[in-house]
Amino acid sequence: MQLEFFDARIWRYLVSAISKVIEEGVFIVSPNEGMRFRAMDPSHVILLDMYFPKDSFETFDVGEEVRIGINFEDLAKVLRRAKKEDRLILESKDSTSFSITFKGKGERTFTLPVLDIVAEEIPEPQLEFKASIKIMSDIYRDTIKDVELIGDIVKFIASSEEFKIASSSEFGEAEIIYSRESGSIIDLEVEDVQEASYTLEYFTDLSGAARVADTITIRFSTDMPAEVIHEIPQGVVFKFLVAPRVE
Amino acid sequence: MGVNIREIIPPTAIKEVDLSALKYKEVAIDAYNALYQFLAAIRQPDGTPLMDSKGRITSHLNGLFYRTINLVEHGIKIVYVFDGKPPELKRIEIEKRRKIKSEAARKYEEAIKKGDLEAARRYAQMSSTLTEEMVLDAKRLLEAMGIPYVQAPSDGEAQAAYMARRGSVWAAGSQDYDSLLFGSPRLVRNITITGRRKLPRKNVYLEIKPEIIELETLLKQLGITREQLIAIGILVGTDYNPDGVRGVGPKTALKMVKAHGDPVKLLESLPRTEFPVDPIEIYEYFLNPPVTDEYRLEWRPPDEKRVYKILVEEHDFNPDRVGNALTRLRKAYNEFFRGRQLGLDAWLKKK
Repeated sequence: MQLEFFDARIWRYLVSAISKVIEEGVFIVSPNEGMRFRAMDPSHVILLDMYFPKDSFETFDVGEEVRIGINFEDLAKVLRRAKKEDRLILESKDSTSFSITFKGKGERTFTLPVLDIVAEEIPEPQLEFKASIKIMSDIYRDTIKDVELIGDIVKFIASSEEFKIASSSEFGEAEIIYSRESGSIIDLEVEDVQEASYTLEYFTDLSGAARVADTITIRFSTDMPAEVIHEIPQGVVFKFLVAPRVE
Repeated sequence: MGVNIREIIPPTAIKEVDLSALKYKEVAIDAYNALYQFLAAIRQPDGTPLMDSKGRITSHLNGLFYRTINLVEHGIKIVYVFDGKPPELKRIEIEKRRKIKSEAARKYEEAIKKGDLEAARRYAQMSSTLTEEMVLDAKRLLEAMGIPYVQAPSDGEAQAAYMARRGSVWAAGSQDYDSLLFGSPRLVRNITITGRRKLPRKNVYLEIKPEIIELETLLKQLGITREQLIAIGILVGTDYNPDGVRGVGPKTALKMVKAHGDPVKLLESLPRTEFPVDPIEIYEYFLNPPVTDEYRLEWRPPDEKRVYKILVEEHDFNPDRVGNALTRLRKAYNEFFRGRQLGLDAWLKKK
């Protein structure tokens, strides 16, 4: 199996974000679909889902389905060496190891062992989201940084007019409002008013992934899980679903 | 105290973690085990425990208060489980402990007379006893702090293991391994002593981290069943037969159990004189100890006035330190306990 991707940095930031939540997981590369990774954290609060469509690769040489057991911390360390303009080649010749090559000013190859682990079968979540908000990824990242200053719990409140993100603690309060008029919202679709709270840590841990996304779509309903979808160039999608907190 | 099977636990079955790995997890701590640790460790250089102006010991309250807050600040949902009436089986062990303590108390007096502070401290630690009044104070303090506690009908570790088995808590927390014999799916050790700790009689400090031992992993790695693990415990010595079987350490016990297969037959094959009580009775006790369903695990906001009254007004704690700790407790409560983090499983049901 050999895959070539145009921008190693996209891999770098996605894998680095994943490594903050999950230690190990399995990349599944299928000849018809592309590459997919789905996994939950040990406490089952968050579900990660990363998808690289077949067409997003410049080379997609896959005979039959390949499963690669990954230690994310190790892989993140290697990918941290990705330079601007580096392309990434992912290769697996046998079931015991795989290699990553950065193709830029030279070819730098790292070979890592494949972990002997089985991908957890995770059913598709059965959810209907009553609020959906699409914003630019830099606005999303700034928002998380703002809220992080104050508290550990983040509250989303969405109406047909605006999307409000709030947090409060002993330290103080933070309230960030994006209204339709402000122009920062690309898309806002909300039934009635939706309101839910989440543990901020999951958002901050994964906020690095937003660096390589163009836009972010947040979907949630009152006291239900929230889904944060990162729309990345070449049809690549990274999303996470996080369970709510209840009072 | 407790069954010591450390020697046969494969290092791969022990997961050393940071306190942060226990975030949002409920841990049922053996209260007596923790209180005795505080009582032994929190002392002045000559071994005198902390005392209030009326001469009442306060080491246990000091440990319980500050240590609990430290754990709660890490988002760990602590519940304390208190021993109830000791089972008749335990009489011999209790008698033995009482003798050790009175002997230690005598040696403490001698050491003080000789001016040997090292020895005095050591014997003072050994002679520490929890009185009924001290336990009552501990319970009152927990109530005021909003931390739940459970009164076990008999053995606290048995109750903690039962609560872990039915999923009320994530793990049992103790220094002893008994809760594994009682069937707790997980044991967390070192939780009340995590951090820098001085080695006894040496001027050396160790970094102590919590250890998680999973029963299933342990049994799998040893290639035995829980019933066989109980037999190993009895061969090595439990609270109900403290001396174990003469000449049998954990490694020999493991070999014997594996060679014999059936743990009951193995115990029956040994000379009855090796045991102060019928070993089968001990075996049955570990399998089916008295436990209760009557408990409620509810973390409430701290009643700061009451905590202040107990610690500062009744027991002369430093008001500033108590005030600061209460602020931390309130903050931790708001952060971790006021709301509840749900899991995704409810939304991931298979069609």
